[in-house]
Amino acid sequence: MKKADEHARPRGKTLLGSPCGKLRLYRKLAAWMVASAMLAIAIVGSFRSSALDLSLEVSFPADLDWGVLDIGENRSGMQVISVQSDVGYKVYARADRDRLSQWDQRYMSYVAGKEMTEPLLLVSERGTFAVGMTDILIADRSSSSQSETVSFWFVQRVGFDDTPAPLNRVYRILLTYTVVQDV
Amino acid sequence: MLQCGSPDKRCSHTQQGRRASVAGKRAFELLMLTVILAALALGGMQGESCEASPSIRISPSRIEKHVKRFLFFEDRSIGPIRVTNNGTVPLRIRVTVEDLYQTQDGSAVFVTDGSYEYGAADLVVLEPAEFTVEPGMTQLVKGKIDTSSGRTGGGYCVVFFEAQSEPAQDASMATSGRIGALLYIVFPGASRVDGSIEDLQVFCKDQNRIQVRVLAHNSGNVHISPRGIVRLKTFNAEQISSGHIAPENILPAASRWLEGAVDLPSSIESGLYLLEVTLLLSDIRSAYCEAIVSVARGDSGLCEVRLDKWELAVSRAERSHTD
Repeated sequence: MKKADEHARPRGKTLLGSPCGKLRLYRKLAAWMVASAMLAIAIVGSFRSSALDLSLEVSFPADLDWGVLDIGENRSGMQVISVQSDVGYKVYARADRDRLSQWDQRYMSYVAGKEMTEPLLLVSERGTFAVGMTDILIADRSSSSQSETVSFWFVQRVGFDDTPAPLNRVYRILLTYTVVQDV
Repeated sequence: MLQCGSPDKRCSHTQQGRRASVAGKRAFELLMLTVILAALALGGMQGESCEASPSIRISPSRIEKHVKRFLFFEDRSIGPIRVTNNGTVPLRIRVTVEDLYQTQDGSAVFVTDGSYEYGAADLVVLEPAEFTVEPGMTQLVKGKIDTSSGRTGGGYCVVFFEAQSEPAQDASMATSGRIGALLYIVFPGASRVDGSIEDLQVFCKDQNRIQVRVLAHNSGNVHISPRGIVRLKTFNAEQISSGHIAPENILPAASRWLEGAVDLPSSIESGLYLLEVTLLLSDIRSAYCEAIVSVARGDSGLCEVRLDKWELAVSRAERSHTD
């Protein structure tokens, strides 16, 4: 009887052991979970790319319609690019061709061999440039917390050798402005 | 009761009132004419523009991504880059990537022919590659880096967000604007940090300060952003003054002018001094050069500083080292 009592399960003991053992098990599990979570956070944290807190905001000029060009020098209105940058930046301009060319509005394509005699000129704070297919630097600015403007205009000289565009055609060029921060 | 003077005077007042009324009407007409003319002039000036100006904001505009490995896991993700349309019209945006190089003044150079060894444009894929953003809305752009080539060191490219122009427009000058985010990738594996000082220039910024320009070259395979220390010493190695060189990013195989300054004590005497420049390329590597500078103070107190280039050449050959 005494022997049986010795082997008898103590009161309150469950299959998982005593309440203290159960508590220990839960503690261990919790510790493992916390450690795993911390490890996961550390891994994810180390994997995160360091996105420097820099931003760049730019407003570009809209399309420009010159209408009918006159013989002589045609000057566009002022074009303005507004830039807000945390660090120094540059503004470039380039075109899809070296001259304004006739654009067929029905076929949505340029007409081969029908281009202006003179190149399109861009007048900026850095000087006057012929716009072509390579990037030209039109502004080189240092950082500023305020929005800055880069102003320029275009000049197109038209001579008697330039033929007027027939119906459904216009003289056209595609300009691309690029703004990028310094390395 | 207070009378307003005699009838004559009242008449006079009435006439004055009429005159004032006429003058007021004329002034108003003149004002309206001015407003109309101004409006016409402004309209004429802006009449060339076909539509509202597109406005784009990107954030971040510079990302430095270290691709790391953990067991079988490799994080190759980029971004997200937030592209916000701050204009008033919907924008169709096309995402392109070009290799990034730099000039000696830190300007970004876009390389499209694959000639830059450390370009990474062909290893980066961004999604979505084309999208439309409504005014006031933001689009997130995420990317992946291809690491299958086993490349180590750095890879550099610029992600362009180009607001495309509609080809249907019949404007004589169609425009598209693109805005670039710089992407610095460091691939897993060992990177090699190395560099040297190629040239040194000194100027007298004002009477009590020497401006120092250092042309640093990155001969490693990953970008560096070296800080520098400038020391002005006597030939007895006694330090007179010191200053700092501001850190700037230098891409592999590129050189860049870094600028710093060192203050001149008011008691400094005219003569020859030793100028030492140390660039800290990393925690354990540095580049060094030294030069003899001649400091002369005029009667007006203005200083003149001259650099002995020959000493620089010798120092570059003999003393440029890595610790």
